Amino acid sequence: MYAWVAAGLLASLFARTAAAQDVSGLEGLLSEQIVSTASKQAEGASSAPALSTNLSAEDLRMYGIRTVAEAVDFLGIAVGSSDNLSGGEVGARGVLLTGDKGSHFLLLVDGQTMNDPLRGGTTFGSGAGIPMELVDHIEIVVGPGSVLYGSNAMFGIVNVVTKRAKDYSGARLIVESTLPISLRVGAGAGAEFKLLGAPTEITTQLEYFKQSGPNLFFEAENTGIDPFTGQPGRNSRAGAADGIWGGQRATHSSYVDSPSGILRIVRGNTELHLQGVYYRHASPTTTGDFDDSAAGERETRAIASLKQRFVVSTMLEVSARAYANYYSTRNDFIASRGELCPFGNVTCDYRSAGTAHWLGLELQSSWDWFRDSRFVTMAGVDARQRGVSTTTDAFEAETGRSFYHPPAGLNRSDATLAAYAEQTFAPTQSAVLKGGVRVDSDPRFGAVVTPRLALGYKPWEGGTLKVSYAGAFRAPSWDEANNATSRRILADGLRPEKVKSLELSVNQRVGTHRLLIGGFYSKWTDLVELATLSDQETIDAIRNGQTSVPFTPGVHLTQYRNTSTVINYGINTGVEGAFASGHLLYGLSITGAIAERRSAGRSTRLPVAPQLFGNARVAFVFGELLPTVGLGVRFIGPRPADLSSGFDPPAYAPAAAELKLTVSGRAPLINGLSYRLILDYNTADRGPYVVGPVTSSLPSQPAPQLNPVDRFRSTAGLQYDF
Amino acid sequence: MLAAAVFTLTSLAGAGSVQVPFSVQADLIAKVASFDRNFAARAGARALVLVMQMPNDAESAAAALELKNALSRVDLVGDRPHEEQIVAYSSSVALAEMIKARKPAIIYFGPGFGKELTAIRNSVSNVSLLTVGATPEYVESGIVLGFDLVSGRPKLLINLSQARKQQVDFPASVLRLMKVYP
Repeated sequence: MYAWVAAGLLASLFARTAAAQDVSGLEGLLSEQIVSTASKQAEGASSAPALSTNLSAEDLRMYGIRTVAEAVDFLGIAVGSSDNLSGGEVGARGVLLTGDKGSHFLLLVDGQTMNDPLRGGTTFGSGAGIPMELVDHIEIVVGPGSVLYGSNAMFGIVNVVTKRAKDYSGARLIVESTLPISLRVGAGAGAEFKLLGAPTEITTQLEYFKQSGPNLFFEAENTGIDPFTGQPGRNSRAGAADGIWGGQRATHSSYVDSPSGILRIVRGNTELHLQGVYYRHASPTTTGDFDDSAAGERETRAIASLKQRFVVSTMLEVSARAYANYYSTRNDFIASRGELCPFGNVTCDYRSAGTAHWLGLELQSSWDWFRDSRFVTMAGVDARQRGVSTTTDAFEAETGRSFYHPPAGLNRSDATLAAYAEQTFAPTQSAVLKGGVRVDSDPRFGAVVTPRLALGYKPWEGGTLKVSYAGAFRAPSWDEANNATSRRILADGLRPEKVKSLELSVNQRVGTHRLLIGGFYSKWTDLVELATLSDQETIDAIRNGQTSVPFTPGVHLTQYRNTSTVINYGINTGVEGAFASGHLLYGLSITGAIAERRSAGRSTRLPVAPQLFGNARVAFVFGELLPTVGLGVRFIGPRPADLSSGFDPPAYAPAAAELKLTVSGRAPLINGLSYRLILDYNTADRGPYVVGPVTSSLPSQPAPQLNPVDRFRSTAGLQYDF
Repeated sequence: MLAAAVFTLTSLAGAGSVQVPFSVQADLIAKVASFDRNFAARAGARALVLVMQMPNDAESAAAALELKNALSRVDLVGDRPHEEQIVAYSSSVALAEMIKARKPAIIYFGPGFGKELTAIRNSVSNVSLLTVGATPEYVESGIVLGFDLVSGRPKLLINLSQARKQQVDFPASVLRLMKVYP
């Protein structure tokens, strides 16, 4: 019976395909992805000067995507995230830099930078405050992109584009729960109207996300004899000094609390964007006390921008963008073990806090010199005033008494200036050459020059050949370059990180089907890492007054340094398309990459970064009245664990496949109600992060513990459109 | 306050300004015209495409020039050799007379025509002509064919009743790919 039904459906689908064959050329044109991030102007993805892909709102919904991280994992090409149980990390092309807090990817929402002004970090998970219902599409540009955007665009750029009011008209309520650990409620609206005689539109969504759990089980770790007390260490405030961390489920320290809102108003060529996110989160995986709810981080982001575009003549178009970005953070690290809290039988709260802001103005012009779109110059300047203040302290958690004289912290402000230009030259109908350069001036470092040169050539029908050379950089954050904490001394002459990349790709369109195959080679230099000082360096730092922490055997200070280089090369390929007049959709991407970290004459494989990864998906769209079924799979090859070098043999996370089955559609009987049901399953039970206090082999704990994985979850969501 | 000032003082082309790149619009016009059952008869041996420009509107002028340039790079429009010309718009009456005299196969309207759409619609009704608009709002107001950008992909829009009045006749297989305004 079921076989007959399936056969009937397939026959129907392929019959539609046959009938629609004569319009395949038109379908192909309509399936062309339009991107605007790589060049700061709208163009076909196949012509963009970098690997650019669009993830559509339809794909986000039918494949059960809830966050930007899930979007890049299940739908992106050459990009992937890794769940460290603390907001996640994102990498590209087989490079992932652990602990970077997202600072090597530039995350934009409607072109506004989400990376914070203090650390340059961002999150792609639930704390990003990006409501998926409001997302029109997500543009992913893979590869260095600083030529038009400046710092942080080393892996690439993710630009989340929200819907216009015409696609989000009316009001709606949303409730979604990953059972039973999270709840998201939201309200969104969009409207078009006349304001002072001019057509105007407004879109907005407010939402609140709360997560408690998953209550993962952590194996007991024996931290052994504490070098400070000479006794077994204490790993919780009230616990015994038995040296044991974990051995139970973490029920207090795995949470997220995140209200957020976004508002966009467009009147003609003027656009106002306002966004705010509060993100309180914690993780049980730190080296401090086990499962203490007071540990964690609170982040607040506020972003505002006002953009105006003027068409001056058929030759010249200019735009101005005024923007402001505010960020504050407070981080609590709780420890009771003597080597971390060397004050007897007490619990220490290491608290660091900071606020930072940007105020900027970007002016951009586009010159179509011969008024034929063949020789166009884009030039712009971006001036920014910055301010930052930080505090850090270590005090007794019970009494609030400070242990050390706290470092002074930062209280600084300055200004940066950047100028960029890119020339587009189309000598023939089938060739486009783009060359650009950007100069960033930062008073903390010398000027940074970032180039890009790209050639796009269409040698045959539907095919595009692209070659590009591009660079990018990341200015060390205020925190890395100019800040110290109780246990971290000030950096000395830190330089910007840089990457240069060469890539070659071929795109081919056949009807609604698209194929991409490409290769790349990248070299990353001057990577900034938190280095542990040797005993002698620690003693020198104390003598030089670089810290007020007394010397404690076995306790090391740290410092940010330019320590390593990464060589990265590989291939990426992707194919996507539709059959049966768009009723059967599919996609597949595979990336194979080598990433070697070279430091102090040694070459090692980058931890956490997989050498083989990708995704595959298929969806059946049966029609408006029937459910849409989407199945996505994300696969990752085996990878060395973070901090694994401290163990012999080094720990590896197993290969894993994450499956996501989604059923979505309109609810019967109730007009305006739609639903989405998602099942998530992970084949691996361990991830690539060493968790807990034992981060190198001890006699009492010779093997590491890798982070446990929340393997199976179900999610149900409802949306009611008024 | 700054926002209010800018919102009040700036001159505006309309909230739905052009989203789909002109090169993509040109490719779509060229391709979709070939499916119009009456296009061959309308165009004759050589299809004339008029690109309308609103006087004293820089954005309209720039758009007209960009679309004309983009169309000039397309080999065939509706399977026909083609010629495109920019024409300054003066009134709907003058437009109707020009259509009668020059018999264009396609007339394209870029930004800046929002207030003229009703008059334009009335003046071209019952004339065999494919009118094309740069933005979705134009189609709602009576332009036969238009473009939108949805989820980062181009979308064709059609005003079906106006299409019938202007003898534009697409098969169902093409209409299925469009957003249809009845």
